[in-house]
Amino acid sequence: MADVAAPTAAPTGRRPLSPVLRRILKDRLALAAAVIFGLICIAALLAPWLAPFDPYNTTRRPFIPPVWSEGSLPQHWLGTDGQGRDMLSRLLYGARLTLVMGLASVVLGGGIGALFGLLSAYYRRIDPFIMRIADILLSFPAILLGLALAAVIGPGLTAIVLALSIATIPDVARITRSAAVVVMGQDYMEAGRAVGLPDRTLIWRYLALNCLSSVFVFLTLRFGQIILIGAALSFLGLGVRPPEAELGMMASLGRDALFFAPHISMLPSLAIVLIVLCANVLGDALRDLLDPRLRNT
Amino acid sequence: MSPATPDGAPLLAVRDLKTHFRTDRGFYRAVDGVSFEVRAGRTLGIVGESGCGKSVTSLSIMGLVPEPPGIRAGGEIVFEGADLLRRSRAEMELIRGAKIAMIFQEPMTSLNPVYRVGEQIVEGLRRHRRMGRTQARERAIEMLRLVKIPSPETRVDSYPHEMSGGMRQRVMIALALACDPQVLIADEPTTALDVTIQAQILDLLRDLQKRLGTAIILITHDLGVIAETADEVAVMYAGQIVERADVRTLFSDAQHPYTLGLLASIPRLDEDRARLETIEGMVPTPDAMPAGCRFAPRCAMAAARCLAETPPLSAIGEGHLVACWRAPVEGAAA
Repeated sequence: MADVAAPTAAPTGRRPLSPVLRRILKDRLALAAAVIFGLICIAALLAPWLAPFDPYNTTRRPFIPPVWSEGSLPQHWLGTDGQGRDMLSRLLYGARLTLVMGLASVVLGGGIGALFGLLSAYYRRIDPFIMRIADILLSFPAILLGLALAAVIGPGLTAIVLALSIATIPDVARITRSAAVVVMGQDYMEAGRAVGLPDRTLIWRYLALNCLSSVFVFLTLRFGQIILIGAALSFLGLGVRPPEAELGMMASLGRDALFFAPHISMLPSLAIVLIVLCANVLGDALRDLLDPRLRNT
Repeated sequence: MSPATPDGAPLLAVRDLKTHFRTDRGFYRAVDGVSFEVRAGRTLGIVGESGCGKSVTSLSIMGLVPEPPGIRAGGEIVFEGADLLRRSRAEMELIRGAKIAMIFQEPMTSLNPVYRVGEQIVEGLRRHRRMGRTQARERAIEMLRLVKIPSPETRVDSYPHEMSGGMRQRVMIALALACDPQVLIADEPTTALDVTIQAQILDLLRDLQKRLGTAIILITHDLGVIAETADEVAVMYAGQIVERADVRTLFSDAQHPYTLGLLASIPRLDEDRARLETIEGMVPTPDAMPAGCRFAPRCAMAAARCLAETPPLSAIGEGHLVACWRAPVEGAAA
C-alpha cells in the first residue's frame, strides 16, 4: 500500500472541483499514470483510424527493425514482425484486445466474486457453502479452465474471458469476504440495522462501500495478472489466435527472433509492462481517493 | 405493581425476558427473566457491571441479537399491544429507527465512514417517513440544530471523521430522534466521552426528552449518570434484575447487597474515606452459575438459604422491588 497521498490542507465543506480530479492533479505519479493509461486506451480504441497499415497484411518485408536501429524504413516506425506485418499497427490492435480481455475479466469475475464475498459475510448461514465452492474453483488452474472452455465453446476471446473470469471469482470472493467480515464487526453495521435499514441497503451502502477500497486495490493488481495469464493462454493457442493481434500472444510469437529482431517480442512486452504499471499506480491513487478518511487530510 | 411514575400506561413492557446464547462452552443465560416497563417522558436506568446482560437486554428489544448463537428463550416485549419477539423481520425493520431507536456506546465507530452525516439521517427519514430528498435534508439540518451542532447547514455535509467524539454522539442522537421514536434506548451513551462532554450530552438528552416526550432506557455502569438522569432504576446482576426502585428510593434506601456494594464503590466528596469499597470476587461465569442467589458467593450477608434457593423479586415498598431473602432491612443504605 504505497502512500501516494499528498498531504495538503484543503478546506472542508464545498468541493467545487471533483475530488477525484483534484487528487490526481495533486499527485504527479498518479497524474503521469493516468495520462499514459488514458493515451493507451484512446490509441487502442481508435486503432482502426490510427493504425498506419493493415495489421494483418503480410506482404511487407519481414524483420524490419524500428526507426532507431540500422536498416529501418521511415514508413514503419516500429518495424515489421516475422510475417512482414507493421508492428505499430499490430501493437495498437493488440493493446485493444488485451485491454478488453483484462477489463472484461476483471469486471465479470470481480463483480461476481465480490457479490459472493459480500453475501458470504452478510448471511453467515450460506458462508461455508460459498467458501467451499470457492475452494473448489481455486484448485482449478486457469490454464485447465481455459482448456476446458476452449474445448466446449471453441478458442477465442469469449473462452479466454470466461476462463479468466472464473479464475478470478474465488480470489476476489475470499478477499471481499475477509474485508467484509471485518466491516460486519464494525459498530456502524449494527447502528445501521438499529435505524431499521433493510438488508439490501446495509449490504450495498454500508458493507459494499466500506469494502470497496480493499477489493479495488486487489482488482487493479489482479488486472495485471489477468493480462499475463491471458497472454499465456493465447500462447497455448487457447485464446486469441493468430492472425488476430494480442499483446501477450505477439510477445510469444517473437521469441524465435529474440536474438536478431528483439523488437518483435520486446515492444509488446513493454506495452504490457506499461499498461500493468499504470493500472497499479492508478489503482493505488484511486484507493486513497475512495477512502474518505484520507480525502481531506 | 403500583407505578412510581404518574405518566400513564407503560409504552413498552418487558416481561420475564430470557435471551440465551449457545456457545462452544455451553449455554449462556445472558438475560434470564428480566421484567420492566418504560413510560412516556420518563427515563429508566439499567445499571450493572460489564457482562450483566444490560446490553443484551437492549439488543433484544431492538431485535438485534444475532441468531444463532442467540436464542429467544422466553418472555415477551410488549409494544403497541403486540409482542416484539414475535414480529417478523420486515415488521421489526419498520419499528426499528422509527418507533424504537438506539444510541450506541462508541460514537467514533457507530457512523458509516463513507457517508456524510446528513445522508445517514436522510436515509432513515426517507425509509420511515417516505420523505423526499430535499424535505429529508431540511429535517436533517433541523435535527442537527436540535442537538446543538454549530452551523448545521454546513455540518450536514461533513464526514464522520471530520467530527469530534462529542459531535458524533450528537449526530447519533439526531439520527436516533429524527423519526420521532417513542422509545429511545441509550446504551452507555457517554462512556466513551470526556467528562465535560458527558454532562453536555446528558443535559441534551434530558432536554430533548422534555420537549419530545420520549421514553428513554438508559443503560450504564455509572451510578453518577443514573443519579443525574434516571427516574427509575433497575439494577442488573448476572442476567437478572436484583433491585428496582425509583431513583430517590434507590439512593436513599437500597436493599440488595449488590446495590449497596455499587453505591459504596462511588467516590464521594462529602465522606472522608481513605479507600473506595470494592465488591469482593468476580461475576460468576456462565458455566458455574450458583444454584441459589447469583450474588450469594460474593455477598457478605449470605446465609445457607441464599446459596440454595433463588430469591424472587418481590415488592417491599411503593414501586420498590428487591430480590434478596434478607430484605427489607431498615436503614441498610446508611
